[in-house]
Amino acid sequence: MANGENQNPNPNPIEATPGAAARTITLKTADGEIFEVEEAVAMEFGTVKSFFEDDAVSATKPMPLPNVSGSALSRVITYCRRSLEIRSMIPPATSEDATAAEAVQGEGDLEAEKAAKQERKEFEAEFLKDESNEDVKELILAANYLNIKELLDFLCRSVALRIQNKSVEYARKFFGIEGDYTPEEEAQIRQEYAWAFEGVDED
Amino acid sequence: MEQKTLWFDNIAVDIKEVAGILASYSELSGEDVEENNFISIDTYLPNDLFERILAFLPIASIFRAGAVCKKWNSIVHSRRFSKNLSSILSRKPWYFMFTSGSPNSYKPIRNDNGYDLIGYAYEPMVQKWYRFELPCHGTSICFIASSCGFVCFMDNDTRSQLYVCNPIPKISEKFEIPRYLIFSDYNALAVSVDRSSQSYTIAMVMSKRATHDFGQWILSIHIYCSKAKLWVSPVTETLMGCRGGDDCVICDGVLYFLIYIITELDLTGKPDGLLTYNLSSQSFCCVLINRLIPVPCPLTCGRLMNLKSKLVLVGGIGEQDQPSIIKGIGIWVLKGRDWEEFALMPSMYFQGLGNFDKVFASSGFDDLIYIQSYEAPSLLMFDMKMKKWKWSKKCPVSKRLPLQCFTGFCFEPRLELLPLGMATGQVFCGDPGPRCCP
Repeated sequence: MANGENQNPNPNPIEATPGAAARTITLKTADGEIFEVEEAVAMEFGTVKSFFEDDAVSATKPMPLPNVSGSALSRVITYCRRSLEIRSMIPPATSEDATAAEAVQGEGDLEAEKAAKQERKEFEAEFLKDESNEDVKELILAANYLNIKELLDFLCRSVALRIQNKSVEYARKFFGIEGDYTPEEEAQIRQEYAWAFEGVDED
Repeated sequence: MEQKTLWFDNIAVDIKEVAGILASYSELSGEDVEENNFISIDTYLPNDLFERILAFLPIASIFRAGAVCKKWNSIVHSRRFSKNLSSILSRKPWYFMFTSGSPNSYKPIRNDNGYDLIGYAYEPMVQKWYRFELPCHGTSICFIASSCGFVCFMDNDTRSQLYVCNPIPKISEKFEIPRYLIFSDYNALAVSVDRSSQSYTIAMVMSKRATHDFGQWILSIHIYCSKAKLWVSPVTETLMGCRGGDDCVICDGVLYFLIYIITELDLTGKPDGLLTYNLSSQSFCCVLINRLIPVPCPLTCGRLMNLKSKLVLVGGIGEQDQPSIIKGIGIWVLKGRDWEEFALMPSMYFQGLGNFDKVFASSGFDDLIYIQSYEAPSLLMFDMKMKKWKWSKKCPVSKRLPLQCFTGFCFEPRLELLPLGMATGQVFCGDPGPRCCP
């Protein structure tokens, strides 16, 4: 597993902020892939953040991620990079002084926030467009293990969207769950909440 | 071992149906499972991740999720899940619309469970109307209030029973009120809940005709505190030529209600001003007129709402001299002792409500206000945050009899089974199902 070919080619390199240098953190996935990630991005992963905060561990030693595959980590990194970029579009909060100048700047902030929101919406729609249900599940597990709240919420919301108007059988297939109700029990639930079972999409 | 084989069977089924197969998966057989580390990642999601996903679902989907398997059923019916629901995703209030002979008193339909008010409930998140049956008790009931997730009905016959209902899990409870509190001519009720301490306060404002003419009314305020389990009646006042109404609201520890002026020309009364009663300091000025906050303009129909701790008034704007003409509908927010005009209904929506009398139903919660005319099943929504008006999808409810009207109220969608286990009285549940209640 050579280092070079497994590095995720990043189509959207982050502008290096002054003083941050090109500090990277090395991560090693369960299938042996090595990723060198900008520190800012890696610190989005709660698990990585606490690992490096707790120990005065040298950043050059690769951190093992035994529960994450290379393909999943690559997608996660793409998401976090883009997310950081979008967040940097919003200028930091201004001070509490209420002056006319601040009020004008506030409007500019509002515009920037709107633009950032729109960018995020488009990016997120694109991000999961071609992912299979299995891939999404794998991403959820990775985001959960790496402790990335924003990504995890986004993924959970997306899965909810995928199953929300579907049948019970679809949800079972999606998650690989076996139904364990007797036909009578299931019929009883369907009758009790009959209103909830109306108007469901055809599988 | 067996588990992993089963998992692979499921994977194979899914892959056949999904495009973009990863070649590596299809090459692996059962024996390779242990040798490849990344395959041993357990793609069975842990419970807390299921919980997180399910919390993003619209409510109807959550109930369907309970039918997927017993584990999911216990998740969606757990206390923790329903408590966290609103913190994960902010949920707009639902609207329940139904037909009735009169806008104020209803005759539920009898069925095997007792009595149900049959109508349609609107979930704004998915813009769907569901056919709903609200559990009721009694052949003739009257809607009193929808506050903090509790929908309260009063029994018209005895006028001494209060029923508290949570429409979504179809749970209702009888709530005992003291003997001396027989419901009066006008009854207003509001609930305020402190979810952190699991305590609540009920406030009732009652107006009773003291004499046969319109002249004298007795206004009383009654408060119930769940912690002390005690009813108190701190205020009883005789009013001349004015009375309280049928709605009141608790907002930041203060009780607000409208006072209606009654004249020879207008015996029903029209809103004149706002009175306040501070629940914590319990201060109430005895000389009412001095403390009255006048309404912002001649109102023909006024409704008070607590929208994110703002006291909001929705009312029909009338002509000074012609109280039966309504020329618009406005929304005001109380700032201190002044009304600030927040929005005016644009004329196209006003026309869209149709030819309606000066009264209409309006209710709201959080950032959403619902307005409907009694004459048609169309529902108008106003988003306070975005300041946008929008029609909801048309409600499929229809009149059973030609002289009926359409009416309704909004309610906060909550999944908790019991309305905080309110004190005393029986609990009436819906059909007992295979439900786990941890």
